[in-house]
Amino acid sequence: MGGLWCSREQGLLATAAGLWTACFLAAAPQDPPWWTVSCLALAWAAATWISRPAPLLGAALGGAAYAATLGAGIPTENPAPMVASLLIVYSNGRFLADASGLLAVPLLLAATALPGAGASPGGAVFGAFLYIAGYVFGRLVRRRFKASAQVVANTARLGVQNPVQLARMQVDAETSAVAEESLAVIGSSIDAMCRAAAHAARTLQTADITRITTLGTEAVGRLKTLLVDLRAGVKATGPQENTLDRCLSQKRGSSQKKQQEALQKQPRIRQLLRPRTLTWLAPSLIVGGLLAVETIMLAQKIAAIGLVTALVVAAALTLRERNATATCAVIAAALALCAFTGTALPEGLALGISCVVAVWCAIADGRILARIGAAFLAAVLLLALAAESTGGAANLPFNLALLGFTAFAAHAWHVHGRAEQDALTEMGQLQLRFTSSFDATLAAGRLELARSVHDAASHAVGAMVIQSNAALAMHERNPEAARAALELVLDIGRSAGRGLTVLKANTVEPPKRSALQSLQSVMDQVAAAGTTVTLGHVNPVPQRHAAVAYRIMREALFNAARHAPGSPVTISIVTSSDGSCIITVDNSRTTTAATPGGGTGFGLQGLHELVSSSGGTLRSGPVHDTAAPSTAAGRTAQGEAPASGFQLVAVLPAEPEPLQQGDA
Amino acid sequence: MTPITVVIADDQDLIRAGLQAILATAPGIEVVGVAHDGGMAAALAKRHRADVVLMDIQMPGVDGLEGLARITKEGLSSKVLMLTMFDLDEYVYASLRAGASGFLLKTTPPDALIRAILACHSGEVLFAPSVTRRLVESFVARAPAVEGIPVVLRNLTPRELDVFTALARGLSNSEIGAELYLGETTVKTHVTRILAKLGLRDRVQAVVLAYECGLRQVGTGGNPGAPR
Repeated sequence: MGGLWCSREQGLLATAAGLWTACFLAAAPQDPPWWTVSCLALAWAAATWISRPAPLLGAALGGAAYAATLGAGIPTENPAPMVASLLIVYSNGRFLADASGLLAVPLLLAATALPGAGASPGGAVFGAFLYIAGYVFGRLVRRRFKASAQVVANTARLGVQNPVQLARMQVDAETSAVAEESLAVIGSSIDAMCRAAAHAARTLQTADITRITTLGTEAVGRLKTLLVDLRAGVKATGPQENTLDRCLSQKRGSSQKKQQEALQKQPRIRQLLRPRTLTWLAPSLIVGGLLAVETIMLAQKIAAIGLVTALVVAAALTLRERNATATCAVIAAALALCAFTGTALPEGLALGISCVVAVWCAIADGRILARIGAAFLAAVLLLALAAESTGGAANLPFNLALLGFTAFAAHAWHVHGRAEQDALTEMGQLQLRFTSSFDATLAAGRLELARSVHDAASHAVGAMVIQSNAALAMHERNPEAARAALELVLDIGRSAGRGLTVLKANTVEPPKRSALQSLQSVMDQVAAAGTTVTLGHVNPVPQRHAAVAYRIMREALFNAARHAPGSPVTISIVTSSDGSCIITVDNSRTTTAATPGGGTGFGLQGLHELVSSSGGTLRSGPVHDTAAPSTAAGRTAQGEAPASGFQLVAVLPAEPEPLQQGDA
Repeated sequence: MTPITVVIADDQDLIRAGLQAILATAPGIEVVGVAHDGGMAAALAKRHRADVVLMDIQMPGVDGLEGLARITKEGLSSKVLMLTMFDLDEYVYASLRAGASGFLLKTTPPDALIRAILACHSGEVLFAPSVTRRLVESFVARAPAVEGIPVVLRNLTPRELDVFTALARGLSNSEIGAELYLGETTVKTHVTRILAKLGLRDRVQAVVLAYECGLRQVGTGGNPGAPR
């Protein structure tokens, strides 16, 4: 929290607020003494300052400062507190995760409800509107910043990961799993086929010989299913391929041109009626509503021209997305008309909102023409105000400030939008490179695996089936040759071990090395892929659990490397005296944002089965680490849950349960 | 009738021996050569002008696909049947695209094996039509179904187009004859002419082409040329 209390931005904003307050207080017709002015200015500056780390506290302070201001005799119409209040509500929207920031509005306005404050209901409504607008802006900025932070985090992650290494790890995991199962299938089918061949050699019956080939065909079918499942299962757990899409879908409102394109693709009527595009109509409706309310509340007589002007202005707002320049031009024209004909401008808020919205859209648009349009509108508005006979000139500084503030914010928004697009493009390219590299390595590895399974199957089972088929073809005409073929089948079966060496090399042989020694190569791989592994408290694993322990740790490491790269992983193994063993793999302090819902992968599921068939239990899942220090990527806003980690705990039992025979 | 000459190619001697033994029991088939890789298979096919080559897909050195490519490149008239342990779609489809006339599992029972060789040689029947079609369907980068007649088929006469569509559904010559009310010899002539016009090696390639060019309703048997 330390860093949030003191930053250059904060200092600047607080100073600006304080200065503004001081200026307007000093210029107030009530002429307050200099020490009042400075105290109030300081109070407002302090409230602005505090509203960054503690928004609601800042709002409370602001309310108090407002009360003090009113108590000093300054009327509510004085724009002195305006900047500070706007900054406070903005901070409440921007930095609070939930909607509790809305409380800032009543907190600030509470002071005006004090008796003797002399605030008009119209003024209160105006104030409420203004503050809510500031709050909403803060929310918008917040949403946008979250999306950017996500892009940055993803780019960082892509920079840290090594796709080739990751792919190799996945290939190794797949290969050893498939190799083990294939060996089991082939081994058992060879045994069965040998027994059937021995029997058939004696009887030379069609049915008996056919039994051999049936067994062989079944085994081949199961091997094929293994390879097919492998491909199907792992396709679903490809590396962060949906991250880009998720980021893109978070980019709502990134570019107005994009919105336009999307809109134009739909039929006109549908465009108008979709809820999201009703925002197109919203400002006009709001302005129209406000006009009605103000007319009624202020009981003013509005001239016909004034009413028409107001309606034209409201209608012009509907153009703001297509052509902001036109909106500005229309509004400027309407204002000029009013000024020339001497009619009073439609009062206050409605016009103010219209101008603010028009200027915002024009500046955020980014094109020179639009900016000229905005400047033109601002000039016309200010001139019209200055020329107005009914004291509009008093509002001049306020309007100037409002428009200036809007223009500045819109420009910042626009610049940020461009930077975001660039970052997104860069991330897209990184992602593409990553994916293609990963996919290429993975495909090559899988092809290799398919080949070795194919060879193993062909050498043992295939040859046996073909010889049996030969016996089948010959047994009626040439029983001796048929018998010889069946003897050959038995020979092949007995010496099948040769062809299976490649497959065998891919499996783990626990008796030779301890689980941790086997793990060393995995840890090296994972380190090369960008994740550091530390061994916590470690006891030797009982031999009977060595293979399972190795698989568990390997899978957990692999997941960590894939989903939370760059973050440290800690392994600890605790063996108790009765021989049971608890393995914990901890990845809770992630430094980059982990992909939410990173998928279990076909490995984790297999692990659950493996562990339960050994009689143990496996718990795995994401954890929220509330004690995490706020690092750069984690510092999105206070009160937000930091990136979650992952923890895997496996308990292997004391008494070895008999291993369940899998489908071999 | 001259026996059908066959070349066997597989890298494992036990499998070669087994296949030889099976084919030896068939009266109309004669094994003229055994090879242990694709290059040798192509050479033997050329030397003996073999009718059919049984080619294992996976062999060290020059593999089955490469051997197939050599055979088609040299324009040999040998029909190639690929042998494989698993009918894994990608493998098989690649070989069909490359010009194979069909594929077989190594575990195929002997009578089916012999029937396959006979069918392949005669060119009358598409071996395992539903399987082959399923494969092609799932694999070909299908052009969006084209309205009317695809460009590549434009120079076929309407009758030939009917025959082609039926051919692409995997029907045998006799089945085509039954459906279109044509005699079998007429169908045979049409098929030969169609294959020649389109530059296809055999009926399997016709199935591939039909899917690839987006001929509509190949699977459902409608007739795109007929007025709607």
